[in-house]
Amino acid sequence: MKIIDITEENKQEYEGLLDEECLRSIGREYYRGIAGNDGSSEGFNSALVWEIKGKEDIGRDTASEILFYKAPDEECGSELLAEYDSSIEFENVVKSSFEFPTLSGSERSSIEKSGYEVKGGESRDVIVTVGELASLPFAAKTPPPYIKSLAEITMRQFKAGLMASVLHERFGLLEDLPFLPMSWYHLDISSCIITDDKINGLLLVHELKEGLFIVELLFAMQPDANINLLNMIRYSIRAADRLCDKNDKVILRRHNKMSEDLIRKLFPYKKGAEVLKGEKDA
Amino acid sequence: MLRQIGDILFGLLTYSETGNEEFNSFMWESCSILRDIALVGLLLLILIIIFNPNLRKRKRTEDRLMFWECVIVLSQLIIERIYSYCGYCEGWWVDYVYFIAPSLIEYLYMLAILQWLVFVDYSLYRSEDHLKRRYKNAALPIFILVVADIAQSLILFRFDSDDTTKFAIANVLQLCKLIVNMMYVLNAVHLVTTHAKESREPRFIRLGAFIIPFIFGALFRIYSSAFLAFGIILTYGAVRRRDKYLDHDTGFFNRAFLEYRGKYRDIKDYTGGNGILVCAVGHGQDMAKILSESIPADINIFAMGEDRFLLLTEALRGSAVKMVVMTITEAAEASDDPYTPEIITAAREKDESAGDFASRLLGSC
Repeated sequence: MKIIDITEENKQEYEGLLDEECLRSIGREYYRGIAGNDGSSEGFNSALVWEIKGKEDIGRDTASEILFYKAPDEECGSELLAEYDSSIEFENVVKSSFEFPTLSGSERSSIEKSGYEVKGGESRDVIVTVGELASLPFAAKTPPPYIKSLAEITMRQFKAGLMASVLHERFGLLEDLPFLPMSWYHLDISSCIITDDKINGLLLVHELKEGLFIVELLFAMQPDANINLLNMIRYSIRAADRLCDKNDKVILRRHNKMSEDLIRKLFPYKKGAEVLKGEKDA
Repeated sequence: MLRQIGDILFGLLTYSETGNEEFNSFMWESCSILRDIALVGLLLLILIIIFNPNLRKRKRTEDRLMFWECVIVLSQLIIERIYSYCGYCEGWWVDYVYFIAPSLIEYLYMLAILQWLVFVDYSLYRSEDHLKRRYKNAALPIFILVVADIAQSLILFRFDSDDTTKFAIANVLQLCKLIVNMMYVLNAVHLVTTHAKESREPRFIRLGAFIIPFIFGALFRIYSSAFLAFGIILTYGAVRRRDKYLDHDTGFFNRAFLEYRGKYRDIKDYTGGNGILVCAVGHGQDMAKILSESIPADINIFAMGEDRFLLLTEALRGSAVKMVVMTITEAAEASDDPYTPEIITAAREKDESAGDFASRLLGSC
């Protein structure tokens, strides 16, 4: 089977194979992708995209998460996974994991053969609608004037805000937060706090596709971090309510204890969808 | 015994007779001593304003806050002096002074404590916007008490109430004032303890410098502002201590603070972190501006002389350091007189002391 790297330059060739978000992410600092052609058809019919985590961090193991996996048959999948294993070994990855909504029979068996224990479970993502967010009681109150949307600030201010976040070790869902441009985020729904002409809090929302958003960073510096976080959430909810359809969806990821607690507080009865998860030591 | 102590404390705190004759007589005797102490406090506050150029010019927020704190306490001390000499004077105004002065002193006292709380907050977080937001309505309890005080005076005079009612209402008001004062003080304690949990940087503010005189002031009811004056003089030590560690050209910390901070972190056993050394020879002023605009306020920047700046951060991720380097370089290259600064980064080794780490980094540029 022929396997090649998907890069920023050639990614357009895989438009039909990869999903929109994966395609957009190829070329980002820690995103990697490979595509395979088993000769059964003209184009590439299998692909695997992953993200490297903690690569340059002191005191943190390097890990990898498979974000996209598609293989027409078990043999093809196994070859792709073998190539993936050697790639992550080269990057000193010690743990590999994934979370998918579904897997075909052949995909699942190739993954299991590759050493992953596949288990069903609740997703880390809680999906809510804009309408549900807007009906939260605290969202009714008008946020203070020092909360602004990203559209209202300069690039320099935005960069200083990002710098504040990364220097406080707050990266949200984004390993490559320092390198993403302002245009990556929804400028009207994302919000920030301006204190002494500097950004000292950010709520960054990325539009995955039309009608689907994901909250990628929620950060506020002291003093009054909790009040400011609440005000930014309030601002962004009100902006989304104004600009989006009530049925548009927002993904809230429980990626750490703090986000888990916050989501539980906002939506105590919401659960993540059933997904398939797996991990192995690389 | 406990009840007696409780009665005395309650009496002291509510400015009434304690019921213990020996104690009352001690309080009365100590009044003359406190009067002299108050005079010393007054003179010291005047001297501190006259001889401290920062307080005179009031360009920095901390100096402005402290200046107004001094003004409040000075006013209080002056009113106290006038009040104490009223006993030797005659005239139509004496009754008015006797009536108004005690309340005025108390409200100025409350304002002074609030102003001190604002100063503590600023010395921890150094944010003017934050002060405006947090303390927008902080003087409201004082205002409400002033209104209540005026109302009670008018009502009592109008309806010629008996002494028991007068004392009861006055005691309730005194208690409210004490509670408000305590709220401000406890708020400051809470701020400092919260900050201590979040930050691993040395602090200059010493709460005891104000709280101990405050407690004495609350107990030795008369001339409490004398204690306040001493509290302020001691608290201002925080600004002077910080000033000692500042590079006055850039406003960043100096080499002496780097050494002090290093020792502090070694004692506390704080390890890890990254260092970024920026060498912008010939462009020191421009680099100082770039750094103060782009680096968050709670990240320490050190001016090391010869247009060299050192940034020390707790951040452990390589990408965070990369971003700082990228942002500083881009800003320097986009300046009116473009240049590329030399930037050296290093991570602190596990067994390396803070001092050795700084020396290693500084030796490389």
